[in-house]
Amino acid sequence: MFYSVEYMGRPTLGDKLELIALSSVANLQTQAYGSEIRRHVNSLRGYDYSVGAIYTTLSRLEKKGFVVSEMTEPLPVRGGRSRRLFRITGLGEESLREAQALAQRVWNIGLGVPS
Amino acid sequence: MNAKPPRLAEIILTSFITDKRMADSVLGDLAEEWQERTSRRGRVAVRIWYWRQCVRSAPYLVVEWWRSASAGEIARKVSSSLVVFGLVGLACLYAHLASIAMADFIIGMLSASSEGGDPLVKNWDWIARLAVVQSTGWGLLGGFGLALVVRNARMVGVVLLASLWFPATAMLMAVLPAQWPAWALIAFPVLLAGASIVGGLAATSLRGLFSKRYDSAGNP
Repeated sequence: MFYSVEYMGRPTLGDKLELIALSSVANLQTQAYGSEIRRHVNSLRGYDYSVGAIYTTLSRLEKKGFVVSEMTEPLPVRGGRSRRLFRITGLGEESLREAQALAQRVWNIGLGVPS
Repeated sequence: MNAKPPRLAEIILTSFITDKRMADSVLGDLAEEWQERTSRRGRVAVRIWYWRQCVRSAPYLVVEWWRSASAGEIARKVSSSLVVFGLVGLACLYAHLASIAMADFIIGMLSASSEGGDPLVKNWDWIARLAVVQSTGWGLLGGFGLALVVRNARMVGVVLLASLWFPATAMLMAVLPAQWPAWALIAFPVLLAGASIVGGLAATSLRGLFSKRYDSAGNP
C-alpha cells in the first residue's frame, strides 16, 4: 500500500498552472496582482494564458488557502477599478516546498542519484 | 485614440463572472494592459487582443463557475435553463408539426406542376428545412429570454441551455422517422445551440449597453 495518509483532507496543488501561479505569487511579493502574475506565468511557461485562465487558477488557490487577496484603492489607470493583490500563506509556502522536494526526488530517480 | 476598452467586450465578459470582486479585478487588469498596449500598438491590433482575451477567458470562467458554485446556485441555474429548454423544445415540436403541414401544402402545389421524383423524399427534405429554420428562431428567442430573466452570470445559463440541445437531439434520433435527412440531425443541435448563444449575447449586450459603466467604488 502506497497511500499517504497525512495528505487526506488537506488541499493539494491541482495542476502545473496552479504550481506556477503559486510560485509567481511568492516571487512577485508586493507586486503580485493579476497582470503581473499573468506576465510571470506566461514567461515561465512560454505560452500566452488568458486573463480568465489566470484568475480562475488564483481563485482556486485562494479557496484552498494557499494565497490570500486584498483589494487596493481604485486606480485611474485601471478605469477606476481596484487591483487585487495576492499574498502566499504559510500553507502555500509549505506546498511549494513539498512540490520542490517531490520534483527533486523524481529528478534524482531519473538520473540514478542514490537518495 | 480611444482610451477606453470596448464596452461590448466588457459587458459580455462580465456576464460570465458571478463574483463582483473577480469581475472588477479582471476588467481592471485588462483596462491597465489596454492602456499599455494602445501606446505601443495600433488601435485595431489592441481591440483584437482585447476581444481575444474575452473569448479565450469565457470557457475557463464557465468551468470555474461549475466547479465552485454551491448546490443551490447550480440548481437555480440548471432549473432556469431547463424551463427555457422545455419551452423552446415544445415550440420546436409545434414548429415541426407546422412544417409538416406547410410542406404538405407546398409539395401539393409543386407536384401538380413538376414531373418525376419521389414526392415523399422531397417532402421530408422540405419538412426538415422548415423545421430547422423555425427551430433556430425559437433557439434565438430562448437564449434571448433566458439572458433577460437571469441576473447573475447570465451567459453561464445560456451556455447550459445551448449544451442541452446535443443530448436532446441524440435522443430525438430514436423517434424520428427513417426518412429524416442526416444533415438535419447535425444541423438541429448546432443551429439551436448557436442560436441560443447568439440570442443570449444579444440580450446581454442590450442590457449592458443601456446600463452605466461603474468603477470599484460604485461611481458611474
